[in-house]
Amino acid sequence: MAGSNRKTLGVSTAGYLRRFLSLREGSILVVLAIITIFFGVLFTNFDSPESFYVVATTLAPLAIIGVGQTFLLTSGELDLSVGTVFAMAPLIVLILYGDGIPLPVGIVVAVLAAMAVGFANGIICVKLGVPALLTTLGMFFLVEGISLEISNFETITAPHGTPLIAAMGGGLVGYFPTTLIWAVAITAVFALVFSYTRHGLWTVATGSNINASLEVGVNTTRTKILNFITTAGLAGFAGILETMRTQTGYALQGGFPLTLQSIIVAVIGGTALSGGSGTIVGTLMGAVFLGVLDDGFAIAGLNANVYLLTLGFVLMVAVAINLRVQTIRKVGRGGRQVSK
Amino acid sequence: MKTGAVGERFSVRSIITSREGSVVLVSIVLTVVFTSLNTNFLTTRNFVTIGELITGNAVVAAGQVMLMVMGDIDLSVGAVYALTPYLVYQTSISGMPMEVGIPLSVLAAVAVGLTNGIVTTAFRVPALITTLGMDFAVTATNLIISHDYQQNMPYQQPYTWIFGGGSFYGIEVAFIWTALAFVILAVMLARMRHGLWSISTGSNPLGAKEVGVNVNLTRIRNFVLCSTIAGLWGLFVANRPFIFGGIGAANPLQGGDTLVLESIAAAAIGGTSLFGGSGTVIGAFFGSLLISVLQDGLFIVGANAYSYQTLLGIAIILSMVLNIQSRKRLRSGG
Repeated sequence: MAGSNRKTLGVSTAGYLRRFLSLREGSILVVLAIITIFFGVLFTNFDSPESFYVVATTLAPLAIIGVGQTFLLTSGELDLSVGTVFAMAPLIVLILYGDGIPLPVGIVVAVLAAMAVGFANGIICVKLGVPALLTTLGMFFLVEGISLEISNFETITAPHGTPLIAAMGGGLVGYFPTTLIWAVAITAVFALVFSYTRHGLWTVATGSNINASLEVGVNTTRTKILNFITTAGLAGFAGILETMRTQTGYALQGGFPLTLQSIIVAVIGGTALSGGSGTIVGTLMGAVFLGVLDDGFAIAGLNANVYLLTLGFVLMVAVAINLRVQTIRKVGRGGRQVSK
Repeated sequence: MKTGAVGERFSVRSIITSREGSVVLVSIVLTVVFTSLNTNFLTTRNFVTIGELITGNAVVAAGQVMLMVMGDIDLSVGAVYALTPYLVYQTSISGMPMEVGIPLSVLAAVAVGLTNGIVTTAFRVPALITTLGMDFAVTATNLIISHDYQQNMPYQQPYTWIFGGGSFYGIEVAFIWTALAFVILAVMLARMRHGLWSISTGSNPLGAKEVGVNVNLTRIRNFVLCSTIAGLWGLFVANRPFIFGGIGAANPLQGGDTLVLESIAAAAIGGTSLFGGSGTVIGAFFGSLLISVLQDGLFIVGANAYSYQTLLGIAIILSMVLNIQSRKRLRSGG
């Protein structure tokens, strides 16, 4: 098969396969398909509505926070405080509601508070030069302390039954929990922002080469701070949706495990931990993957610990494969350039 | 400092701008504040308590420093910390004496570090991801083999005494190990070839490789070192006797995320850069001291139990801002 043939017509199967696998989202899509078929064939109740509900509600918060994390990682930073912001925002809503303030106002206030945390992260990290890992680690503890103090470490029951609450995560549309609808909508909007707006372009530019970006006039400081604000805001919003769904808010919900999973979905989806390359669709698929894995393991009767164990290995293998694919992609691109 | 006069070496400014100076200063201020709030803070009994807290996490933080100076990190220390005591318990109930069980469990910690190191260097997976995956894997292993039950540690002298269960003239044996480990690690990082290799790997891996530093070997060694430390100190804390606030039991959730976060926080507060290339072992000690004084002091003055988290967060951020801003000042001479 002549190389020029493949280039002009793209008919070779190997060429298709190669191009598919060298997509950022290629590897996660293959793994996702395999595991879904595996669980689907093995367990008859995998495609039941109950099972779908578990997958949907597990993936929704991961996808929403993962989207923010993807923007941040692509611009070369990360946020460890999302897990506690996730707990703080709904607590603010519930406490304000308890004081007689209507829910919509409370939700706006809570999301603004979450965004303020992101703004503080951004200022400390970008303006004062503290590494994001430490800034947001400190913020993790700080926000956890705030949540514990405002809730007095008590579980607060959320109201239920109104259309607003149903829309904010507490309801179902057909088989679809509203948290999932929010997750898909947010992913779609941010995927467009990532690919078609100046902010998306600046995010990629900032993460891939910050000095060159500065020289061509990219406002890297603003880009990074905006991404910090977005991530924290989304984390707070996801927390509110989750609390409206489960009807309980408590200070330790989310926490470090959620933080880690939000980074995992982005990274196994194909976003580079080193910045400069990211994919929102990949992040959504990463979240679906964790949802399917969690649900499949529960149906298989394996306990949560086996899920945890598998997650550990999946993470390492996925990243190793991603790095390998990235190398292939670079070599492939180089080859094409030479043939020109 | 710029003029190079000897007299200026110990000026207030040089103390504040030195890596560890600001941390010690904050610790002293905290001690004064806590003492003025409650006189019980400045008692021998309370110093023992602070010592216990330091014993629990300071050496793990020092191990973290060895990795952080290379730009690596280990998130699996918390899980390994719980793994070793369990393995000692498991080997003991399957009939093995402790002289077999302890080396086996420490070997398991070594194996975890080795795996971390090999995956990170050979497959070029970032340490954050490798050790995060390992954290999940080891935590799950702990929960699976323990069935989520706490178990009493086996008791067999002299091993129980040596591995954290004893006291020597009223001083906890594990505290002596801690002091010893700090001397060894400090000398290793500041005076030995391995330390030089670690720091040069962190500041410029390519340059280090070109002058003949075995970068991969150095990284793997530090992963093994950090993991082994976590395993050993997990054992010490599990064996800790009642008089030092221990319960003499293996708990599958001992250490955990809290230890991981605190060890990184202690190293960072002590002035170790996350980007690699600079850091001190003694800084990790002072970082751990600060965290322990904070934790203990808040408890003694009867503060709201939740304010520890808030203040720890503020302490991490504030010390890092001070650290970075003061070094920037120092470098520009202003």
